[in-house]
Amino acid sequence: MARLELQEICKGFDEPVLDRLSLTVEEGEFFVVVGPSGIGKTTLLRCVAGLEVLDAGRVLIGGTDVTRIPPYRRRVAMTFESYALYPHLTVFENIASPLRARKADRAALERRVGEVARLLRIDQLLDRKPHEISGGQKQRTALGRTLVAEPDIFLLDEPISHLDAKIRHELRRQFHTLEELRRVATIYVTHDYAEALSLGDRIGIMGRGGLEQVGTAREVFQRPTSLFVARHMGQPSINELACELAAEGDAVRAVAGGGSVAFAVAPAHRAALNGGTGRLTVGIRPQHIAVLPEGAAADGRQIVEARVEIFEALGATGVLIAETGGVSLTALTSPDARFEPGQPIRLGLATDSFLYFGADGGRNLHG
Amino acid sequence: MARVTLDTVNKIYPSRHGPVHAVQDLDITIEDGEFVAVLGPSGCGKTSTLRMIVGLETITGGTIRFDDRPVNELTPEQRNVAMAFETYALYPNFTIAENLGFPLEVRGVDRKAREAEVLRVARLLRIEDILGHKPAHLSGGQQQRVSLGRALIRDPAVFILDEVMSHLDAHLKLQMLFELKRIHQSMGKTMVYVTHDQMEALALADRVAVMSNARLQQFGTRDELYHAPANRFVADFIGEPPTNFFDAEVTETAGEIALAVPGTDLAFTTSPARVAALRNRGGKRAIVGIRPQNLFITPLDDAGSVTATVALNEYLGEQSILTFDDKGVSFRALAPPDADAKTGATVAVRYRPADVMVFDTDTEALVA
Amino acid sequence: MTAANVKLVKTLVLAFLAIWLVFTGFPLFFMIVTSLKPVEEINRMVPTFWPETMRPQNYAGIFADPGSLKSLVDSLIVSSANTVLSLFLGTLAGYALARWVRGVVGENLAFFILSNRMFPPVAILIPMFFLFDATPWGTDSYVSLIVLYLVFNMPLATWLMMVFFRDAPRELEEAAYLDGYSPFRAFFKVTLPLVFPGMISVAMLCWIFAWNEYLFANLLTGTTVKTFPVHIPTFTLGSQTLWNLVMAFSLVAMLPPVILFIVLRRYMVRGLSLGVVKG
Repeated sequence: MARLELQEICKGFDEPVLDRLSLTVEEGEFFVVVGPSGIGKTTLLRCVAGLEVLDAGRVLIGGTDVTRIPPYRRRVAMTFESYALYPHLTVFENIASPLRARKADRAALERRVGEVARLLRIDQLLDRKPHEISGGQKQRTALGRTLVAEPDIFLLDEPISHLDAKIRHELRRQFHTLEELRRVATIYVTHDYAEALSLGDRIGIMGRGGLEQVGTAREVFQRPTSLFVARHMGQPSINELACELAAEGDAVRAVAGGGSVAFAVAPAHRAALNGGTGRLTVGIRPQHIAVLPEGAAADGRQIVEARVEIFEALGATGVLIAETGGVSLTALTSPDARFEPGQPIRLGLATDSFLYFGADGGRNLHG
Repeated sequence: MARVTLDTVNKIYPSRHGPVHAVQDLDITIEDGEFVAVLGPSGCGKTSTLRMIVGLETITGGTIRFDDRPVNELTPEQRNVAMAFETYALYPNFTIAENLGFPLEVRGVDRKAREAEVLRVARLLRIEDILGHKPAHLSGGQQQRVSLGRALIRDPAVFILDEVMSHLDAHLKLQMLFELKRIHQSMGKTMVYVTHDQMEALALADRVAVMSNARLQQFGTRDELYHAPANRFVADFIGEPPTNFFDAEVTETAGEIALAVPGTDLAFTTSPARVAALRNRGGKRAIVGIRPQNLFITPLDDAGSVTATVALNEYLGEQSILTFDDKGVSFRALAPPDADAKTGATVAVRYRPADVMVFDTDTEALVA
Repeated sequence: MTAANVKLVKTLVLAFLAIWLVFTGFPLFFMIVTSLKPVEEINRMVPTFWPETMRPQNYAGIFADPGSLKSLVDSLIVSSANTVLSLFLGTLAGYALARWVRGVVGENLAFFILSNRMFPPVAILIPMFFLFDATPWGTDSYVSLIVLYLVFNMPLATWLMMVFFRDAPRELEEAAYLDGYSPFRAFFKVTLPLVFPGMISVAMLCWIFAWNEYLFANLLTGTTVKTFPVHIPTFTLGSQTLWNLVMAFSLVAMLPPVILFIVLRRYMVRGLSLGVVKG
């Protein structure tokens, strides 16, 4: 067991994918990397595993430099997005593979595979071939193959994103509770922000070239350092409004579609914004926009009159798109609410939860 | 434009292990201009259904009608059906404008008319600024729009979309869903959308046909599927996080019917209507289903409650998912993100009796 | 398609298949018939399509010549040894080309190897004779044919194995590295089993080529070693070719590849329609 250190690693193919990325994952830490597809998350894992040769930088496991050590001597286990189960071997042999590699004796091998299979509840399937089992069972088998090896580092590449909601929730819980996973350094890659927030002790949001922000779930969701981070956390996406800062610094004005609307700047944010140039982007999370019933108190919120454009009841939530002064706002509501297109409504905006991003580069101005 | 009627449609594939009944006695009427989603897990028969509507697959039994005209014997061409695929299938060596214009070019529409039509569709899809580009330079969302546009430009009677969103990143997906909804509203075409993702189906469609095991399980609006699912399958398949189910015993004390989960302290009451239905049905056992968003750890009026221990508190930004454990029986609830429920804490979980669904243990049909 | 169209297409397909069956089936039929005729019947101006006198003794007759059996054994030795060598070298080279020599260099190298199969064999007939004449074992030996056939079979084996290896997902090998297998062990644990059906197909193609080859065998060998295609023309009586014996012997010589194919058919089909290893 050991900590993992990446020191300024660089890797590119036609263009740079990882650009001087540094990261330390402590022993026992569950680190989640989240980002849009094709951004280089899998490349990061492959560099740690030793499947890619670094262009520059070092990888240290437990303080030892393994940059030039081949993957089969790194004591790193990895699940692949495609599961990469050996199609010609049974589930048992797939799980036993790492033990066979180190020539473990027969009794120990059978005991260990049995243990892991029971833990993952696939002990009924040990005689099956991979093409005879479901996606969730394949994923468990792939996971079993990594668990059985008792590696120093776990790397998990999109392990549950291709599964049904039900199995996804079940496996997510298992990731929370599996001792084997939780006591070593783990890097878990996903494109699903909810998975990341749920699972990560810390979360790294990956953008072009490296990690845009690293922090706990609450940090990255509530205090994103950039617009990029804010945009990739939350469903529906954060409202992004290009605004002009008023001279007094107490309000910003969004102009769009022939109209404009002014948003108050909460007193706590004013100091941070005064240094900014005139133009900036305001980020409002849909859950910070409430639909207020007639006559409800403002309660510290800014009241805006709006008109319903679209309302959709999804599963557990409803999504409302409303228009005010030519600006479209997306709000999160109860799924049982009813709104008709064109209906006038009052929106309550929680201004003290607004995020402000610089017009150039989208850095968070008060983060 | 057309109303699409499926009248006891069956599809049987011959196979080495005997015939496979892929679609069984399917009755659906899709109104003219309606947006219908066909939803189900893989292998439920939804793709066979769609292929029969398009005309890529023969119909083993039953009739498919467009308006009042049976189309069983017609080619896809004659039915005038357009289809957009999961893979975008754009011609990489053509520009976007050429890709869009291709179906018209094949029909020998002259250049002027073609260009005007391409521009009209491009405006509708908001891609008029990229008409000169090649597909390789577009984002996934843009490619998806072009692929939709190519189907739209033919002005089909029925428009069929096969899993078209499954390759998009989550934050693009919702945007595209609303976009598609807007396109449908401005065109008023009959649309059939096939998907395995319940969120997509609920977001887009006027009505959703839920399929499983070759059969239609329920055909209804979001509210019908959500509040009165026909059976356990529908309740389970619609909604995320998944519905909590409990195997319960029907107990009666002092005239009050309760549903107790054996081996735990959990017991639920349900709405007076369902209590009456339970009385009528008789029987000792039933399945209780309750959705995670209908369980609350905050005070609630006129509510029943159970006590449970928090096994897991997952922070998800807009909300948290709490997983409770009561003597080996676990269930989930949605809570506000700042909910005060530490792992190991014992809390009161409240619910409205009207939200407690009851299913028959054997048939798994809703008791109502 | 309307129902009438479907019916028309079906009829056309069946008609085509029937014609095709006659085309391919007739020569075989005539071989069998001829092999059962007595000598008097084989050279008639108007051929008979069914023997007037059945003479199954022809089959015993061909083995009256001890050279017949020996020629089959010689063929077996040459083609089997050649197949093993082609497969061994072709698998190694194919793996190297598929995994390590990619890009422009790899493409061109692979194509160059395959192009070795494309020249007309006659062009090198005489040079090959002199080349093998200069070796210690001379032209008329097993070694000469086994090595010579590598010229044709190895490029084919290399190319096909390369294609099979490319289709075998690289991720499986990588998963094996992470399980702790060295590249050498991973090759045997994961990659080889995946391409095994392909290997069987390649082996069949190589074996059948070496089994049936006539041109080089006829020129290089004939005394110490004599493969069956060289032996076939020796069934004569004076200036008359004994077609009945020729056909009987040819049919016997057809049996080994046919039996081999039937036994290995399961693997062949999977090998030739590769891509099945995924999922």
